[in-house]
Amino acid sequence: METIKIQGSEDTPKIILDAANEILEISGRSLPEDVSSFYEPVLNWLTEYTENPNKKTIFNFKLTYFNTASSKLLLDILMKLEEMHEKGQEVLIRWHYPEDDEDMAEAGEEYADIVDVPFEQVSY
Amino acid sequence: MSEEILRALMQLFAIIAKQDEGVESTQVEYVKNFLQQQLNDEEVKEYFLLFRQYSGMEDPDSGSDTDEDKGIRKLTSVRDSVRILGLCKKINKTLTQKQKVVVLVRLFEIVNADRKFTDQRMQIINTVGEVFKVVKEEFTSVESFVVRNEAHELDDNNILVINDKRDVPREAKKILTKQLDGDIFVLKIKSADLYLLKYTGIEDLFLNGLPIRNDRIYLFANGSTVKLPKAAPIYFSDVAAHFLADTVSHPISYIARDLEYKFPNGNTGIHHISFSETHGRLIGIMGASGAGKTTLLNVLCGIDRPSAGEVLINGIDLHNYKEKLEGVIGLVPQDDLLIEELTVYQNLYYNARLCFEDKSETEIDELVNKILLNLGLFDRKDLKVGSPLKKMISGGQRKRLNIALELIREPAILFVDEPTSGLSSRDSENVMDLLRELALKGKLIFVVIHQPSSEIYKMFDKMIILDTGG
Repeated sequence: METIKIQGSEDTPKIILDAANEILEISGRSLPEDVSSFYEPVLNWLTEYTENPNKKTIFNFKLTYFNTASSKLLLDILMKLEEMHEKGQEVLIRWHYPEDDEDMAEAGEEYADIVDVPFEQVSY
Repeated sequence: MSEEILRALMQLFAIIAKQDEGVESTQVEYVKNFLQQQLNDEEVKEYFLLFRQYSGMEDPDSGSDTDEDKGIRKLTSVRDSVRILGLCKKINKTLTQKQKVVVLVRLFEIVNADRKFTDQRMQIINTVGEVFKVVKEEFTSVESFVVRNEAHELDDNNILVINDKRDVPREAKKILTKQLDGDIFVLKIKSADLYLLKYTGIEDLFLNGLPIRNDRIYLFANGSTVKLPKAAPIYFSDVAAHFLADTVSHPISYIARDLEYKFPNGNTGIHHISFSETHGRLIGIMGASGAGKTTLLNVLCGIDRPSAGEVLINGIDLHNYKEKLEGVIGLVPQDDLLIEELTVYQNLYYNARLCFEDKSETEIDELVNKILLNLGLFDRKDLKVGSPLKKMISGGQRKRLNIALELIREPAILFVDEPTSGLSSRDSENVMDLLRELALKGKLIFVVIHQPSSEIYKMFDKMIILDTGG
């Protein structure tokens, strides 16, 4: 499976989707101009991945900020992972947040409420 | 509106209002007003407090101000963004598409209250629209409907303009009225089958007896009327007819010529009846009991053969060439045809299976769900029908389900025998509203009716009145 590597910028997050090395991670700030087209390859990749996933899937979110439009796309990603979980595959979401960022921690909690998938909060 | 939804709505309002420079007094006013229309004073206070809490108005020191020291434009907090998603998901589960569009309109309205359409606010509404799965085009048409106020800006074929100006809009539909300040706009949202109304002038207009404020958007529901100060009122059916006018697909001509019917014992049932009708009409048949209403209906729909005269549908003789007209006619008899042991859904489903042998499971399922939605029976779809003595669904719902059994075949001409007998006035109106709407959509409908209320009587395009003796 192809690996996706997107370098982060001021307004776009850094994304690594590497099935072979078991690294799935989104980090940084997410306020892209056109969210749907930015995240489209990510969602497509995940759709392909769900057909033939690794034994255990750990998805890391390490964001410092995302806007409302991005939040919907992040939810779409989480829902793909939820689907995998429902099919009986082992999935874990790690939500990283800066120790002093209450907002980001609570955002993680809210997400955990919406989707039914193992969710782990990690402060750094 | 349920408690849970109101709560969710207060949170959405609060999150939107507190973006950018924070809550404006016009928005507070809007929320108060909104609550006052739905609730009593006690509850208004309760929900208003909720709004103040969520929007951070109760404690100005905490929450919303954390980013201010950075000196940059304040961004929507990530927690709020995710909270919005959670709220929308919750709303998704409980509300119908129609109600969701209404929620969306209310969100637009609160932004419209101070007319600050900033990026962040619009992004929130956009996201809500996406989670609600509102079609993109309809989202934009709702947006422009709320934001814009001039007739030339609102020239879209989903919009109807009502004013006293002679000019004809290029795309929009138009009803000309007399002496009206400003314009009335009606937007049709096709997927939700919903009409929204707003007024831009300064005169006192009334929607179903309540005054219309010119900064608000109203639902223009089935059967509503708008009273104008100096001109004839505007009825829902007028408006709907303008929108439905271009959807008629099969023109029908229905001609009855010199019909006469004699019962087997030689008595005359029908005595020389002639008339001609076309699609899009709702015809009533009235008369004293024993006057021959049902007999006439049976002859008109082809069950009984007249002893003289003929019925021509698009030039084809109904009684001699019945097979050529197969599927064109639908009949809803007075007695019910439901199977008591089955649920509302199953009744319709098995009926559809018998009608369409070549349709797939999923097609039938879709069709059944669509018709249940159209007739407002979707929430009841898993209830058992029950017998008339041991009721599980109401009389009006029973009747609508009976009509649905015929409608699923999409007949062009529908005969309905006493759809309102035994129903409460409210239920009768619902059933008749449904028939009226079907007529507007281009069907020809004959209804035998007893004691119509004046409201119902007004819905008919024509009455055929029979007296005893045929």
